[in-house]
Amino acid sequence: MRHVTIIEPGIATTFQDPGRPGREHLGVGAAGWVDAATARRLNRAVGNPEHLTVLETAGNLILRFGCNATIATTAMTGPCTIGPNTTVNVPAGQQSWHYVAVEGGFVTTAELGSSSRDTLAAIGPSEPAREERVELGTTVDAFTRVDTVPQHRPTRSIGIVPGPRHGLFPTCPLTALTRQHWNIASASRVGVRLDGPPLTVPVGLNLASEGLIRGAIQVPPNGQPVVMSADHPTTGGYPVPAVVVPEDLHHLCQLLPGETFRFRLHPAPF
Amino acid sequence: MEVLPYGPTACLVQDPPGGPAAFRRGVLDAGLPISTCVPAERTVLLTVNDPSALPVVISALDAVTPITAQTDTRLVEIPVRYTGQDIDTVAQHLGGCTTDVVSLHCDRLYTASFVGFSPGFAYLTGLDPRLVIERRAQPRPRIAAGSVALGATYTAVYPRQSPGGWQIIGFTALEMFSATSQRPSLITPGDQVRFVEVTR
Repeated sequence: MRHVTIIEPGIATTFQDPGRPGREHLGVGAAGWVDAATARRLNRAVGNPEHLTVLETAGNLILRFGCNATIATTAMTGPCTIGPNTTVNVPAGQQSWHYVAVEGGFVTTAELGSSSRDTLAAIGPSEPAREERVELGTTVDAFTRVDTVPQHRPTRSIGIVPGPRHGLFPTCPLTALTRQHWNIASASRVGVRLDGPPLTVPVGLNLASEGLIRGAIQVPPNGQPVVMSADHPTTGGYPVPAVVVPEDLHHLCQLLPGETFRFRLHPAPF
Repeated sequence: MEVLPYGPTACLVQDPPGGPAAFRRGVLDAGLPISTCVPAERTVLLTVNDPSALPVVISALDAVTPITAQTDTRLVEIPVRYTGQDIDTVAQHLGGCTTDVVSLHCDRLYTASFVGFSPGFAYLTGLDPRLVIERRAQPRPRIAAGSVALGATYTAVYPRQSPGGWQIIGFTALEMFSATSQRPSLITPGDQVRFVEVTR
């Protein structure tokens, strides 16, 4: 059996794929990889179909491959073929989320149609444990390898559009969001907490719970915004004044705690 | 009905005709090019895969006919041991005793308005007004799976261990959510629910 052994599970390491959209009305979120563009391109780099299961980690992950394997990680400049008993190290830093793709993909047990771990709902394959052996899939020849691994090109200018509840704020929340710099306070698969001068929140607002989407900027009573990421709850009761545009969301999610960025307002889609 | 903006691939429909559950069925029946449709207390969230589909969906919303009658409605019976840690608080709030809480909670037939918060957490409407009680000022960090609870105008069962601020009146041994089941969520929007007291 082709396999890999987890030597050090590292920080917040999970198996991920495109996720399980379509069951939000049952309280089940889509989950899936935080940075889809990077994960898909790493799969292409090792000749996989784009949707195969990869490892996602915040770093300090160490793997030992028990066989020849072509792999690509965000810590390497291109795909490489390694021999048996080669140790691969994915250090923390540079960006929040790193990925490891292997030719054939990682074999895990899918739940509700996906091998993505939803860390909030506890659905999908459990976090890999130290000394765990993970089976690798068989090689897929139908796809052409791509010779480059995507390099993280951070942008510090994140586009937003008005959200459903911007009109409920006593002063324009879009102005407040765009006129100042924001710090990343903390980041998880559930959401990214921002740190900066707090927004003025509506007083006595008793908003009924409503559907949430990835990229929604929720403002709890303390005025510090939280941007919904892959494992966000399906509904929430805090007002959403703005939404991060999909093409910039992975840039925001890849910023490290302490890094600074700005929001810029895009025109509303309607 | 008001359509609120929610980014290039979503919109939030507030106060839809017929209410969120019936409007959701109408949207699904109309065959609009949507990817998800999530009803909640006053709203329905619609998302699309391709931004170009959003104006198409929004312009079609006025023609959606809500479907009140549900074809696949089920009646779910939930056996409950009424030994929750907050049942005395609820009894005091009611000005009665714990048996009053039990009979008021078991007398009603509830409707699952929507499922949210966590997998399988169904917000059940139809609560006796005397059981309407505020959520706890301090949410508990951990609530046991199967806890039967009251929160404002809703009653619900916590499908799995989670934090929560609702008043716990009892426990059920029924599995509310199973990712490996054909029907992962025991209760789905529109289902009817009855609570039955058991003593063990």
